[in-house]
Amino acid sequence: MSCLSKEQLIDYLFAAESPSPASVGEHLAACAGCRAELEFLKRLKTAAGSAPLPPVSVNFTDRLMRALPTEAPRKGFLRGFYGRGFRPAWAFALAGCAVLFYLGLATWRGPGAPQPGAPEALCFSDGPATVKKVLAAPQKNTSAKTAVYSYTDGCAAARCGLL
Amino acid sequence: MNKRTISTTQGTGVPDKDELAARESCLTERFISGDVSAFAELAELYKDRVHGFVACILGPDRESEDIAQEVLIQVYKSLSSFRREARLSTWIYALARNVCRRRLRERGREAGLFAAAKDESGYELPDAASSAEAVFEGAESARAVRDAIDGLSPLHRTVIFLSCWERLSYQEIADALDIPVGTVRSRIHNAMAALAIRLKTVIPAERGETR
Repeated sequence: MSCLSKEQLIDYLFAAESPSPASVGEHLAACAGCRAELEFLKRLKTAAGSAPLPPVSVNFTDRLMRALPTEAPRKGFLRGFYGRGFRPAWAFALAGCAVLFYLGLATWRGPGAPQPGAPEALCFSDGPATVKKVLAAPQKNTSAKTAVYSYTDGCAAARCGLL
Repeated sequence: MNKRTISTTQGTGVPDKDELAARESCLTERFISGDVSAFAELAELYKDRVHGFVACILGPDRESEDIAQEVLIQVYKSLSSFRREARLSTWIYALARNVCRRRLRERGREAGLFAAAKDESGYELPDAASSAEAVFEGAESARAVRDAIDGLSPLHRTVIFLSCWERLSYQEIADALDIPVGTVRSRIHNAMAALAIRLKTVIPAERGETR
C-alpha cells in the first residue's frame, strides 16, 4: 500500500467517530514516515487546541447580566409546547383529525346516527288572520304518513314575524 | 491570558466533553425552570468560548466582545426554545454565527468570509520570516501558536477553533456553521495545511520529508 495522503491522515485524526479503514491502521503500524506525519499533525492539533483564547474583560459577565432584559424570558404558548417536545406538525395532525372526525359524524349512517326529521307539509287555510286563529296551535294530522301540520294564516304570519 | 474555568482532559487544556455536557444540561434545566442565576453560570462557562468564536469570524477587535454579549443575550432570550436535539455548544455557535453574519452584513463585509468561492483563497500565504529561525518555549510558544492562528483566514480560524479547541465532530461543525460535511472536511484540511506551514518551526518536527 502506498503512503497515506495528508487528507487521509487528517480524517484519521479528526473523524474519530467514523472508523477509518483497517488498512489505514495497518499501514500506520508498518510505515514510520506516515506515523511521523500523523504525530506531527497530532502535535499541531494539540497546539491549536491549547492556544489561549483572546481575553475578555474581567467584568464581562457583570455587564452582560446588567444588559439582560429585566424580566425572565417568558415561555410563549408555543415555546411551552416546544419545551415539552411539541412540534408544529402535531398541530396540523390534530387539526386533520378534527376535520376527519367532523366529516365522519356528518356522513355516518349506521346505528345511532342522527335521523333526519320527518318531512313536514304546511297547509294554509284561506281567510283573514284573527287573534283567535293566531293563538291557535297548528294541528298535526297523525293519520297521514307524512306529518301534516295545518296552519292558519295567522300561524304562518306569526311565524314569519308579520304579526 | 485567560484561564479556563472548566476541567481539562489529560492536561491538554481541552475541556472534558461529558462533564461539560452534564453541567450545561443542569444549568439549562435550572434556567428553564426559572432560576435566572443559572444563566450567570452558563455565561461564565461560555463567555471565553463565544468570544473566541466571534473573534475567529470577525477578527480580534474590540467589537468582538460586544458581539459576544449580543450572542449571550440572544441565548438568554431563546434558551427556553432549545430543543436539545444538538449539543448546547453547537446551538450557541449557530446563534453566534447568525449574529456575526448579521453584523458582517451591516459592515458590508459579508462577501469573502462565508462565500464558498473564497474558501481556498481566503488566507494569506505565511510569511516565513515571521516565524522561522526562532526558538519558542512555554508562553512564547503559545503566543506563537495564537499568532499563527490569528494569521489564518476567518474561515480557517473558525474550523480550527471548532475542531481543535472545541473538539466538535465534522457533523457538529457542519451544523454549527450550516455548511455540508464535505465542506467542513476540506476546510479543515486546508486550515491544517496552512497552520502546518506557519508552525513548522515552532512544533518540534519528528517528521520525514514533507509531502
